Amino acid sequence: MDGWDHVWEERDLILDGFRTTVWLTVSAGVLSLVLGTLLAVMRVGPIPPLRWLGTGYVTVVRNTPLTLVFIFSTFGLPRMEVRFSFVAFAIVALTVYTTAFVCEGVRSGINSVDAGEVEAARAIGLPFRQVLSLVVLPQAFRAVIPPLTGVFNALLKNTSVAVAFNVAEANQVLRRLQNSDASATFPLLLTTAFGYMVLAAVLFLGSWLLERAVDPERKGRQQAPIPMEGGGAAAGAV
Amino acid sequence: MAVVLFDEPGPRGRRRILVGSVLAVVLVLVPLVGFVVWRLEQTGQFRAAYWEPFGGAGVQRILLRGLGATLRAAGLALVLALVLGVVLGVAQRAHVRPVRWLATGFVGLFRAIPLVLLIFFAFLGIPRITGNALEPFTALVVGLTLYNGSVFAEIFRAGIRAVPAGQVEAALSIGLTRGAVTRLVQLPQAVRTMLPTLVSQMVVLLKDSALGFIVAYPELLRSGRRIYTNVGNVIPTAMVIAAIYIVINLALTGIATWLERRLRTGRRSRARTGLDAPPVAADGGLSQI
Repeated sequence: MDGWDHVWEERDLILDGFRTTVWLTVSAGVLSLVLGTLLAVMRVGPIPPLRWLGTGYVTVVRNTPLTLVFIFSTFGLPRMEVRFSFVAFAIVALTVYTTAFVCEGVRSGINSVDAGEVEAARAIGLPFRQVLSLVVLPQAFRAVIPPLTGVFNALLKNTSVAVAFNVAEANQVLRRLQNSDASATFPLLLTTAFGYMVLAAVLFLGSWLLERAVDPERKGRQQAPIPMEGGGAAAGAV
Repeated sequence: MAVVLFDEPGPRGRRRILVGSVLAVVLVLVPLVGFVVWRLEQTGQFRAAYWEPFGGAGVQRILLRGLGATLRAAGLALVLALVLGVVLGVAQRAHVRPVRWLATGFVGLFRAIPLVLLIFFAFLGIPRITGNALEPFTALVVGLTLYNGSVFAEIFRAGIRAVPAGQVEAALSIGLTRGAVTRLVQLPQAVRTMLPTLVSQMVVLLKDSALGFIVAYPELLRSGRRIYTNVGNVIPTAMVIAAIYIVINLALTGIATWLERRLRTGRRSRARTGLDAPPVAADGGLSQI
């Protein structure tokens, strides 16, 4: 049982590793949420060059392995005389990658809004900007929660790729501790796996609470029933 | 499929879109692309010494061998994961409760753990049990199989669930056995609806095989590393390898689209069964993450 003792002794280091994992997830998550939404608006908008830019970005990034994006960022950017810390390079790589998937998630949310509503909004003369900001996005916001939860869960797991790029996140701590004491291999592996499951549980709980909070059919918010099916169907397994 | 968010523009609208396009090109596209290209040029990423090696037979052989190793790992993992996925998918629908729970738990567990950690489980854990060091290839294939097998199981389950329950009831009532219902009624229709998801998961699998980089399996990225540590051309090498991945993945996606269209329209089967295939692109390729 000395393996478990080893894990207990090194608990601070392991927690530090998970703190880095959480930091990577949150910072890359916020950045890619902003950039991905922007990109999605570009992709559904009427200006062709911006549409091409969005489509091109998504096509290129979605078909490139994340590990390769990390190589671009951690080893490539210094060649272009960009000097960040390794954690910052990791955040850049994760943001670049996740932005493409946030864009697709937001786009599927926009597409799930009933076509009749959009037509009605246009029929009363709203321009593109107001169709989007007053009619589509408020509804898309709710439809977008399930797919984006999937994207952010993938991001949480993807932070583990940073293990090979000099970032002391959970898996690198695991590697280091396992190197110093091989008898603790299984306790370390199981502890790390457990840590990820706790983080994923927090993420899904947060998403569930958010979805409930914006549910129009809850707590006396019963105006005219708003048809909002189709949001859940777009969730998919990510 | 897309909601049309704006009207077919009239003459004034077309003029405004033209102005917007010009502004977008001048203010966004050119500065953005120009800045990146300028940085690349300033730091000498386009110098011939960085690009010429790719014309040489030696470097090409390294890349080809790396590509071969990538395809070998991804191919084997794909076959094993499909088998595992079918087994788990069947077990998840089993009538014996403990079997069902076990399969569901297995699928949930392996989808929650990062693939990197699964590869470590194989790479570090298996030698602790067997006493022999594990080949990086085996560790990579085991990790990919466990993860993608679980994802495939979910895809199969969702595909079978999408077949209307009335068809199963009808098939049972004309005397087919449960096995025959699955084989003759549910699967043929499910395959059609789950094909797009299945292929985009194959793209994921191929991309994830790049994690072999972490356990020093000599796949495409590792081969690239061999090149750029010698020549010092990180960015050109990464660009070439990215291009290889993008071409292969786009080809895979293209095949899937073609197959899907063939299956949908080729044999007027849709009209006969009246089964509306679900909007396959609803998740917009989200599952490729």
